[in-house]
Amino acid sequence: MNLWPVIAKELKQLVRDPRSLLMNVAMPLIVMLMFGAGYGGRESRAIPVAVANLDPEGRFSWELIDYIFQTPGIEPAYYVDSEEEAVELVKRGEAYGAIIIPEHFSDDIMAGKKVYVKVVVDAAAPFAPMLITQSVTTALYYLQVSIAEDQGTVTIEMVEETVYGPRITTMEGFLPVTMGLLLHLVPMTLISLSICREKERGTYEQLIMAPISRWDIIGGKLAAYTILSLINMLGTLAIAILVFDVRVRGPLVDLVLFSALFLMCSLSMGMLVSVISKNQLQALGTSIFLFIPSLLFSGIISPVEYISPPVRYSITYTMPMYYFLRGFRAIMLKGYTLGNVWMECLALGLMTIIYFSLAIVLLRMRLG
Amino acid sequence: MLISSSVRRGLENGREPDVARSPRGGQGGAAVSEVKAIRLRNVTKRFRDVVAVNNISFEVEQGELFGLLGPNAAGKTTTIRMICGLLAPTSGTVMVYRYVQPRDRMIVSRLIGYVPQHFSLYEDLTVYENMLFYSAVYGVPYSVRHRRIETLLDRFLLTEFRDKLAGELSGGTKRRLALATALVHNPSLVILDEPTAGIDPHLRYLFWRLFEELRDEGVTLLVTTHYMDEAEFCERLALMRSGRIIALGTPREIKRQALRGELIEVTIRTSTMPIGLFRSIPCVRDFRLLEKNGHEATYVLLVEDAERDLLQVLKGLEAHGVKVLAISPIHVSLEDAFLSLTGGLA
Repeated sequence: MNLWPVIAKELKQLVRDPRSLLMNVAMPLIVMLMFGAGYGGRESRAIPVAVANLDPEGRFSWELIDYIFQTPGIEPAYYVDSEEEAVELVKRGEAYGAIIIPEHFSDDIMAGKKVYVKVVVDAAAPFAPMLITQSVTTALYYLQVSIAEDQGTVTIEMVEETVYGPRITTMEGFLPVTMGLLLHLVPMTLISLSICREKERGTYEQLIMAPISRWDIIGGKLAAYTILSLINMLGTLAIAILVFDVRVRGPLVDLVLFSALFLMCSLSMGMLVSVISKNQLQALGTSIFLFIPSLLFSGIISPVEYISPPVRYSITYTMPMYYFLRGFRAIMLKGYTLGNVWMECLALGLMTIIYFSLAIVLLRMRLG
Repeated sequence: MLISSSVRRGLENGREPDVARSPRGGQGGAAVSEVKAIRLRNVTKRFRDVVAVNNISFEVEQGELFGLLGPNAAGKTTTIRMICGLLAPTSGTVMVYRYVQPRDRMIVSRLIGYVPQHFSLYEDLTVYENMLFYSAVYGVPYSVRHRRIETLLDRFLLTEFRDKLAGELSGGTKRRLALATALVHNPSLVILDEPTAGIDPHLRYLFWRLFEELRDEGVTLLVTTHYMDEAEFCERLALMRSGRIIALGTPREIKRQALRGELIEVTIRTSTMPIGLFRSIPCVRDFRLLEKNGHEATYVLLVEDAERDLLQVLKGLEAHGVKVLAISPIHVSLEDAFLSLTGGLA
């Protein structure tokens, strides 16, 4: 056996293409660094929760609040004076949940009455409901143990409510993420190969020799891939709704239009990748490289509040995926309309225009 | 006459005949006939530290079959790409008709049919689909597209491959498809980069017949090749080497230029040969002994024009009482001329 010639040749070839090498060797390092920058560090980050303590003079209410916020990951961002105000904060998306301690909470405990704490969560948010209810459950346990030492056994219950209808099913919870992945990675990768393939196969020379403008090339390709991906998207949504009984609370038309906008954004991004890549391998590598931050920092694996501010502002808020997930969840799970998610639409629209314009400007209509 | 045929072409395409029209209009008819199909003036192309094309100038007349000849890496493809507007010259001017390349690329591209060196149509489309795509891109009116494609398929013997994927065709068939597709918009100038490289002699011959046919129809053709024998088919040619043009003219002019004349081969009986024989004949510029075989010797004589001077040489020899066994002009190949011009180092 003589492995050496092949080993030497492969290593030489790998080193010869610096960009691919960067992609293959440096990517894991860069991803790890990004990950550390986003989620590392000692300072704790938390999702905002609203608290309405209607028993402000009571013995036990503040004790309970202390216990609740000992759980890392949530913080009492707002103290309000009524249940309505707290729920309103959740509805507006400023808090992920509200904890309401009713009037006469401490007195009722002393009197041995049946006592409850109300938790109102935003069921459309993927991680927060579980986190908040768990912290409240744990806190209630500690409080009951502490009270039991002097007063004997008491029972405090937790009443859970959601702001938008009943709690969502697992399938409904995952659908936005699944749609996000399908409408982002697949079209982006597909279209990122399109111009590189022409360059690699030599068909580009003949094409740009024809009286064709950069608008014709980019626009034509985008339109074709949009049609194909739209069909794909409608099929995916149809399966989710018809086969898996996913309930779309907002208008279906709005959901489709919003998804189509995101699709255009993904395709424009892929087009830009194709324009700046030398060959298909580079394009593929770049697409995957761009996809990783979307996966890490756009709210798929954790609430974005857990991401350090520098990374959140520089990466999360520049990712189409972040805006898509927000908008899609709002329309599908909260029953919002396009008008309610105009900010997300604006962000996606702006990004689409930027990527598209860059692709147009950077497309080389010459050889060499 | 050539101009009127390109005008007709333009009209047939449903476009204005911009080829022969003066942009400023005030120059009158005389200016029109002076328009060259291609005009390069002091054109240089540099890629980083490599000079691919070094200060070349030449012109191609309308209706001419012009050859760009030279070994690999002589700068032929770079020159062609600059003419097509695919590369911008580092310095100098490239003009196609009245238009400056690459500035007027969008106008010029409608006038040019370009066949790149490597097959550059879509292998995953059929023969017909490729031609349909390019006829649409070039804006061939919808009503004539189909008919024109069918005519070209027929002319280039492609009808049987009509619905085959281009990727499945053999090398020679691909070349025919490339040429047919380049003609789909009736260009008045056809540029072919090494159209015959690596194909069999029969097909090469067929291709050159086609080029001549197109020329006879009034099309201007610029063809590059590194086959010296093919260049004999060209009316005029430019010989390139290392980015420079080392000879320019008709094949005969180039050969003459290379050898500083033409050659006559003469075989004589040595016993009849006086000393200083060839020097005494005025039209003989130089001579060399080719071979000596017993009492016979064969010489090569350098004269200005072989056919014209043959009789004079014969008379001169006979005047000296020399017995001439054979005499004929030598056919010099372009390859000989090229080697002579480059000192044997291509």
